[in-house]
Amino acid sequence: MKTLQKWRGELAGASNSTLERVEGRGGHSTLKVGAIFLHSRYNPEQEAQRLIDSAELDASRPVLVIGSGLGYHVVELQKRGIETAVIEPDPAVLRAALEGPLSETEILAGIGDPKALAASDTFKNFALRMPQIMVHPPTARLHPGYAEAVQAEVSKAALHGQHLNIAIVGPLYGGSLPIAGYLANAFRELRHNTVLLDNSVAWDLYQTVTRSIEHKNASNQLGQMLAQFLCEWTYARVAEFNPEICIVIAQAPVTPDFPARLAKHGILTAFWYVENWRHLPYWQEIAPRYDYFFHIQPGEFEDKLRAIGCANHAFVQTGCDPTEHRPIPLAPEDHAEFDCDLSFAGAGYYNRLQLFKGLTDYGFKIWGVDWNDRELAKRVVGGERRFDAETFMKIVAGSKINLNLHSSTSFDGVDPKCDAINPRVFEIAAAGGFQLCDPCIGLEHLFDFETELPVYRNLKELRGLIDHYLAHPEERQAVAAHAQERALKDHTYARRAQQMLDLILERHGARIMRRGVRAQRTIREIIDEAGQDTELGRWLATLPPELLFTQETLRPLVHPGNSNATYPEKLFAYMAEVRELAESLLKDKR
Amino acid sequence: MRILVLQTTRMGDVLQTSPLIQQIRDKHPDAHITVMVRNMGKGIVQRHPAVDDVILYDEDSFFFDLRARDSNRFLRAYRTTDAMIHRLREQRFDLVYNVTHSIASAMLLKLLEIPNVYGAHLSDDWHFVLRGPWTAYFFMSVFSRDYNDLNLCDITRNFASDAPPCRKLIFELHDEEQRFVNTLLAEHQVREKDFVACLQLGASENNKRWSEERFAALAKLLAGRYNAKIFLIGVKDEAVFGDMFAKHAPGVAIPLYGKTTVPQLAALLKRTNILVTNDTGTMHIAAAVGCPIALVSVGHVHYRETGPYGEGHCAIEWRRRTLGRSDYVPGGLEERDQILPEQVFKAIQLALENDVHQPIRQIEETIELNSVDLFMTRFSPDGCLQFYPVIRRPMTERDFMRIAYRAMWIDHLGEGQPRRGEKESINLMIRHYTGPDLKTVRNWTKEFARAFDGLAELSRRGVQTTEKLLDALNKNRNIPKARQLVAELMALDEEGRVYSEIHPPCRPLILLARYERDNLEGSDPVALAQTTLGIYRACFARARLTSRKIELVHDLWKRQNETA
Repeated sequence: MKTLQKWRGELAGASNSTLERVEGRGGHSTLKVGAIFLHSRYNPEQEAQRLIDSAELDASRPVLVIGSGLGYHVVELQKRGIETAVIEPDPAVLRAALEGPLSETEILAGIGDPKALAASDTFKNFALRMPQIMVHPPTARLHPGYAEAVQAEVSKAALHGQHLNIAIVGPLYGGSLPIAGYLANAFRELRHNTVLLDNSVAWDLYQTVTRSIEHKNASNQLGQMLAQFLCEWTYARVAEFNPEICIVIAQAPVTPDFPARLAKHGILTAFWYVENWRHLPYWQEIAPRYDYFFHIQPGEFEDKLRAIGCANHAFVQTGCDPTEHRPIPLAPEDHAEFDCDLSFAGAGYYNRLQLFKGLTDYGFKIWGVDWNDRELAKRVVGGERRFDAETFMKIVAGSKINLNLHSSTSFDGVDPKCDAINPRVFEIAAAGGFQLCDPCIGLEHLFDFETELPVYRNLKELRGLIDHYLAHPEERQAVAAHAQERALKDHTYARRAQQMLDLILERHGARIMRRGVRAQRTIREIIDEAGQDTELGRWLATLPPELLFTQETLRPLVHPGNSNATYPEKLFAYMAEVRELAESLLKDKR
Repeated sequence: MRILVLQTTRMGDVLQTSPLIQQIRDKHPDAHITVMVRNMGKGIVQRHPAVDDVILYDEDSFFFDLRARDSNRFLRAYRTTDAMIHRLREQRFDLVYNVTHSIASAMLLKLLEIPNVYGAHLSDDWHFVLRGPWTAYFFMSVFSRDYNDLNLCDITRNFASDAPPCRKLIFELHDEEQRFVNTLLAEHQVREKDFVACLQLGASENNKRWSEERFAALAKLLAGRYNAKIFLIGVKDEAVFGDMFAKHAPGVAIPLYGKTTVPQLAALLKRTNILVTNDTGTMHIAAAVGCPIALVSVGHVHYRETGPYGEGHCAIEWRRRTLGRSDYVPGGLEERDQILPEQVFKAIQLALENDVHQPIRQIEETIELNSVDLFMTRFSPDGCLQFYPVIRRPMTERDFMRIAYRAMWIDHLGEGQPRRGEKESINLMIRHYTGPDLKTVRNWTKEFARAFDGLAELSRRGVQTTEKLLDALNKNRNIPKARQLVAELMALDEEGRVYSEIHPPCRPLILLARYERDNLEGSDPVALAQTTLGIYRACFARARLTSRKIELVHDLWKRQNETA
């Protein structure tokens, strides 16, 4: 990509046998390529004006035109003082433009393959300025898919490295609750400005309200009303934060119209369905409504999603959060509680009750709820209660072998059709625990069954593995170490978050570009732009470099009344006061 | 000398600053005077002949960048603000009058490093301070409006008190506006001798608006009695009020929403026989061009503070037990319907019959008027605007104290200037009341005198304690003793606050002393103690002066009533 006039030499020989110059009725010419006229034969200048008017462009932002045609619309953009660059798939067309209306124009221009274009620094630098995309309709008709390909490349280049604003909406309760937190942490680790909308604060109230009424219908109705209220609260918080992307986690208290409401603000929405689609069918109502629908079960589920019109969906597995799921040394007083040969931490689903009954001759400890079996109940540590992440890490630390068995309500033991891999797989591995697991479909792509995650298909195999690994601690430790390495390399929530982001941006990056990103840049990134030798640059250099450069983060660092207060501090204090006064006046007017 | 007047509030406030600007000009005939305003004030200040330069204060651009919560825009906001500061610094102002009063304005002036500031400012350690006695008075009066008798224009123009007084709002009209109005009136078949009334239905807040239904009923009265040609004026957004008006009085008035510029509106008002309005910028424009005004004072505004500056205007307000504060609405939205059209019509009749060269014609109390207060403006012999009661009623305790306070403040803040017309002012005011009897007034006098004696005693204790503090700091360097004395002073301040709750008439003086204490600048304990000493001495002096004025009012009342 380079300035237009520098293309002259290269384009001198460009030709297209289907290209024809046609003189128009108003004295302006147009081009005809095949059967398609690139401009109006009557008044291409007026046509260009209408095209630009309808695009509703922000004059303060640059524009990337896809399709130069003869350049009438490019000239019109220039007349309006809008900074412009152009990309044209056909060299012959651009040559004609250079010999015509664009003969004196000095703008950036690129030709041909979008991927090749995207490799150039000029393209990347232009993309970083978040240009608005304007597609020349006849060019799009002549080259189907070209504009989309260019837009995808622009989005990728523009949004790569941007600190986006992301909202994560969590549930009130349940297995997906910690996942919401892990995902939020992951996006923060990727340096996006992330807000977790934690609805778990309402769980106690929800339980109190619904349990206080014996009449089931009335209780349900109250629960729904509360859920509706929580949805409104969530909407208000997201709307105020105004992120580029809002990701809703399964079981979050939002209504089906939630994504449409956010779309009015230009907010992209995604849903992460971390459930078993066969057990909880609400995905049918909501999946097509989101801009992206992520799930944890590839294969048949994806066919079902396509069938209901969910066009944008992807398999994104759960994972581990290294800050939470990590090896921890047990305190001396914890050994008695947590040390064991064999452990299982989770709920007493039917298949687990059936299978684990065959393990009671081992030093076997269980944590969790719903262990409604006399023999197994004796092994439940601390009684019927849930455990938090910290406790889980202690369980893993104390167990020589951590059992994992994916739940089933219909199979005794291992469910051969299980395809919803649980987060426990990754969490135990990241914590350095040795794990024996049933071979959930797809697990073979995530861990090596020989060196990282031994699997069993029935009780006999399981007992065999237990005996072997209890007798060979060094093998156990080696396998655990490999599994940990694998988990931390390939299965962190940061990887999942990036995967989601890549998918969203590839599909919807252009929408974000159109809306514009609220740039969230760090102090380090801003210092160069501010100028290292300026008063501002010097003051910023005294601050933590990874801090975001926003009014909110700087506020506590500004002390204008101090005797050594700098000019930038005083200026920021003044700006904050102006904003506060103006906001209060606006609020009064409402 | 280069002088800046910083007035970045609303259009009406800019107009209310015009007397001050003139006084500054008269005081500094050779100075270069710049006024900084928002865009809405630009058209006003450009019509002031004393203004050399107008600077537009535009914070919108960086406000929206700040609101965007975008790092790039935040940086841009910084650069915009920085550029603005540097541009203003290059102007090298020597003196600024800050009549904006906000913390933001004080911060701006601090950044501009102007050597002399009158008005709201910041100390070196960035605490909000008030420079100038009239500034402190203004801030205090907001919270004790029961006893404030001074119009904002008089308060503000006294920022430049040692200048010939300018007692009018200034807005010059040009010929093109006059031509516009001639055309407009011709279009609507308004002849030269026709009665023209303008109604301003809108206001900056809902609770400041008299209801459209009431306005509509009034319009019918005007049309019936005066065959008035009635125009509805305001900005385009206020057309919705006109629509609601039209439902109650179809075809009675001609809407002109958004159809006039400010100068054209001013020219129209100059031709107008009466403007009926809420507390609005339009009211001040009308006052500037000499259009008689009937102010329907609704909501948390108060006519004494912000009423029309000029003679022969009328204000009508629903009688409230307490006036509250300028930031607190005592009545709420139901006040919008309390004042009746017939009552406002009466006010209009009085304003139209009024001759500013003659005493105000008072009327007797009637059942129809007993729910409202009705006042007419004149300049008092003491030189400030006064709202004289039109309905003959007995004086209340609050009236009594307000008269005494007015005399005290003008005396005290005049800083030794001759007390012109003090007795005449008091006499003229008390002549407008029918009672109460002398015994009642005597009792008030004793009660108030006791209250202010108590305040003087508190202040005296403050003086003594502070003198001991200075001893402890200077002579003995006894820091523990100094700390104990500071604690005593703080306890005394709290005692004063409680005292003001028990004796509400003392509240303005205690509030002012508190403001002054909050305004202490610097960190040198000796300097702070000396300033504190000055504050207590001033409070003592004011308490004593107020007692004397109370006695004066009593004596003049007695003389008038004995003569009668």
